[in-house]
Parts: sequence; structure tokens; C-alpha cells
Amino acid sequence: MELAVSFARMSDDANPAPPETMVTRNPAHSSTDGLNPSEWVDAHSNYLFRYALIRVRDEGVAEDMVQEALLAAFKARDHYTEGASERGWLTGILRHKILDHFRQVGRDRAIFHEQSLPPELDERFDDLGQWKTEPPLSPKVWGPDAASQMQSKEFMAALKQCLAKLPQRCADAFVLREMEAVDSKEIQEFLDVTAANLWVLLHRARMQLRLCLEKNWINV
Amino acid sequence: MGSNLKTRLRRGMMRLMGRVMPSCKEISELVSASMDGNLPMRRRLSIRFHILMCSFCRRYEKQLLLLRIGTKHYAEPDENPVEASLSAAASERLKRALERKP
Repeated sequence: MELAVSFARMSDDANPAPPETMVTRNPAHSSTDGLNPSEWVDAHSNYLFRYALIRVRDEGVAEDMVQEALLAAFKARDHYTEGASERGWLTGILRHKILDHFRQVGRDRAIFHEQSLPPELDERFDDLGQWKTEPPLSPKVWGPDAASQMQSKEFMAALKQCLAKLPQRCADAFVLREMEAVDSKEIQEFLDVTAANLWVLLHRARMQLRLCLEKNWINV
Repeated sequence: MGSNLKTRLRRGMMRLMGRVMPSCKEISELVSASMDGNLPMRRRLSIRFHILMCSFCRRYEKQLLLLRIGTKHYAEPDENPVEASLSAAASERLKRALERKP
């Protein structure tokens, strides 16, 4: 579909007298078709940088991602569909760059060997696998306004800290699943792990994040 | 005497039920798995049945769902006030590259 559209545009550009509506597709007139590459840095780069940083969790990598995405967008500006939001279009390209990044580091990062939970999480269950009933060990009540407090600065800061404490692969899996809503089959391919591995990665990530939030956000 | 007896009763009951139903530890795994795809009916029923009787696992499930909602907010740059911006050097480099006319 996309390919067909770009071929159609190529032939339009080759037409010596394109209909007026087609002229706006010509990259030389990009200022009239909704894209303003010379304004991208001022208008969108901070948003895009934060989008990347939230996901890749490393300023250097996030910066690379944004640069790659904007340069790729500049090259592909003929493919922009008129009327689409400029920021949305750029974010889509950035998102692909970020997924590529995860695919690459997925191969490099040490395989996650732990089959069982780390002691800090495991000690919350007794020998029968039931939650220990002593209050600091079992899940506490979070209170009725936990949900509404999840847009607060305090929550954002706590979740950031908690994510940083996860093993990288756990965090990568969690980001792909919960921030990008990537399907688990696809995540298995990206991170080069089996279904069972991914199950452990996500379970570990969620359990550790829940506990960390309970300690550093609910309890302060 | 009350709480000690209650604990012993609860453990005894759980031990008995451990033979027929999954433990909290297993339920915590299943709750996570249920957020990533469809579990077989048998599994879903065992989660629901366990959660009906176990307030800790009920909380656990509720809080994982809250974590999911919170993470969605966190992932949205307009909602998350991360204090960071693209370095000046990178911005300059990009501006120059993007101003080049084809």
C-alpha cells in the first residue's frame, strides 16, 4: 500500500505539469505540505528526545535515536501523508528506530539465566508458596487514590527509579510490552528469547516494580 | 490465642488446598501471564477462584493493573515531566542537516 503510494508520487513528480494538488507533494515545496523540516528541532526535538529517553533509559542512546529518526524522516518526507500530524508522523519513525535498538541490544545483552525470583522477591512467600502474612512482606493496601495519583510528579520519579533498578533485559521487555504494547510473540523475536523466558522476564519486572513502588511511592 | 490459631488454621487449609489449587506464588505468575495473552479457561478459572478467597493475591492483581495504567501515563512525554533535553551540540548538528535543501 505504502509502496503503491510512493510510486504514484514518483510519477507525479516526473510529470512536467502536475495537477495543482500534486505540486504540494514535491519535496521542494515541503513548506506547503505540512512538513517543516527546518522547524523540527525547535518544535519537536524535546518531545521526541523525552519519548526516546523514557524508553531506552540512556541519554546518549536517546540522542542517537532522535538524530537517526529526524534524518530518516527528512529523507522519507515524500512519504508523508498530507493532513497527518507532523509530530505523530515523526514519533512513528522514532518508534521504529527504538524497536530496532531493542532488537540489537536484545542480541548483545547477557541472557537472563535466573529461572527463580531473586531473594528479595522470593522471601515474600513461605515454603508453601503462600504470601507471608507479616505486614511488610505481603502486598499492602494502596489506598483509594492510588490510581489518581499516577499522574503525579512523585509517581513519575518513583517509577523512573524503580525501572532503573531492574535488570536491563527485564526493563526492556517491560518497556516493549507496557509502553509500546508490543505483542508478546513479537517481543520474543526482538529480544531473542523463548516464550518461557519472556514470561519470567515480565513476571519478574512486574513483581519487582510493584514492590519498589510500594516502598518508594505508596509509603512516603 | 486467636491470631495464632487462625494462622495455623489458615496454613492448614492452604496446605490442603495446595494439592488441588495453585499457590499464591503460582497465581502471581499466572496473573502476570494473563496480561500478555489469553490463558486457557482452566487457568483463568483457577486465578478467579483463588482470588475470591485470597485478599493478598486480589491486591496483587489489582496493583499490577494499576502499574499498567501508571506506566501508560509515564510513557507519554506530555504527562511525564522528565527534565532532559537534546544537547545543544546535537540540536545544532540536526538543524544544519535539516535545513539543507534537496
